[in-house]
Amino acid sequence: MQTAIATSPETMSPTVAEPDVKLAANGDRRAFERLYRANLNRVYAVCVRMSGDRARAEELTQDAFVRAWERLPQFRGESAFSTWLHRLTVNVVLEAQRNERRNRARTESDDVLEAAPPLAPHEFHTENMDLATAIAGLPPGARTVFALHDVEGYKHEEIAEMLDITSGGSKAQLHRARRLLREALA
Amino acid sequence: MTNEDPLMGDEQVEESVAKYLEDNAELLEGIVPEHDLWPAIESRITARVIPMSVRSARIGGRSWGWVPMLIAASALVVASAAVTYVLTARSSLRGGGSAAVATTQPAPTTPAVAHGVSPVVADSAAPDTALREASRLANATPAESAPSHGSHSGSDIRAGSDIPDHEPAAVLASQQQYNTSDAVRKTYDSEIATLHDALEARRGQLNPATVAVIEQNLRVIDDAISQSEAALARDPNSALLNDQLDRTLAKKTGLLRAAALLPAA
Repeated sequence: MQTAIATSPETMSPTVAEPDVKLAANGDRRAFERLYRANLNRVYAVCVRMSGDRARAEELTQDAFVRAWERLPQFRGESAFSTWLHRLTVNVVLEAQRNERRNRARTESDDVLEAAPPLAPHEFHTENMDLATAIAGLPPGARTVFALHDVEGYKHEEIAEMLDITSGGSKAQLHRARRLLREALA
Repeated sequence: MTNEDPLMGDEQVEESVAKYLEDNAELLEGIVPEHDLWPAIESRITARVIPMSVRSARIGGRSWGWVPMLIAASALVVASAAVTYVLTARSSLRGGGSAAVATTQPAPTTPAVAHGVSPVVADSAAPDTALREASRLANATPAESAPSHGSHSGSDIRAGSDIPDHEPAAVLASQQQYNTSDAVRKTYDSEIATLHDALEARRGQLNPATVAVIEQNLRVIDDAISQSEAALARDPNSALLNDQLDRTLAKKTGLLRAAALLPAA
């Protein structure tokens, strides 16, 4: 199954005129603001789905755009700006998650992405739970892999590389996430 | 949530979730931030970055704006020396009579110092040596923390002092503990006052919100100090309480030091 939703980098079409990218790369803040306005919702959505926390996602979104501003001069235009920004955002979130795990100094098992306990079952099951809430309720490792694979459209090999896990580990996390989601949404 | 349905195969799960995702794609697309994030982003990307070469030139040119920073840096040096002293004093305290004192500090009023024990730590002209020695003392067992050269041992100290020989050992230990704790506290108070002054001198340069947070944290720490002191008044020989107070004072010193050296807003 490849259920990549509309925000997948492959399916995103550039929505911003290339001149704005060039202007922003040369330091034009107004041009960069236009890029921000055009891409904000996508970037924020990625952050929400990967972090499971809207407040945290706002911080991560800020970080992603600041990083984009810093890296824009290195953007060569080999891919669409939106694709580049999407990948950059994913990297910012993953980096933040790694730092948070390091700060917590928790002992990690094979489930290297487990950084916080999932919601309790009674919190997870509600009558009118929407998908975003259900995703947010997934354990962190499963949520990250699910968001990257089923929502953002990355392949297991790519996810394995990004998360420094095996491809099999990515598949196992995805299977777990899907099962938990189905139970939550039943 | 953790129950696994043995009849549910992975393909069925995939199809189920896939259908749900497709049916609810608008939910995923409809996630928008509650606030406009641009002002915060803009403030971050427009923050002026001073090149290192410019910074160096300003330092070399004795820019007047750096005076408060120099004061703060001086306070940091003094505070670091205080930490060295505290570590060595603590080592002395745990050693039950043997003493090793940093000569770079104002002479504390521990009995060992007052009665002519040869200092262990190197003089201020050899800071690396002093640091290594302080580190050694901080990590040393009570026996190891005794003077490493010269002829003075713990018993030598006592023999060389003017404390009457008939004084019970427990009383001597208690007296030394009191004097050492008193000296440590005076040093802490002195450093805290110095760092407070440095922070006050730089207050106008710092972000008011940051200063407010720091002051709130200082109030929490002061409250903890008060509680420890009250508990110690009831149980003055409690090693746990003494240690707790020591840690809290160190925390306050650390926070003040960090605050005094914050970059200008």
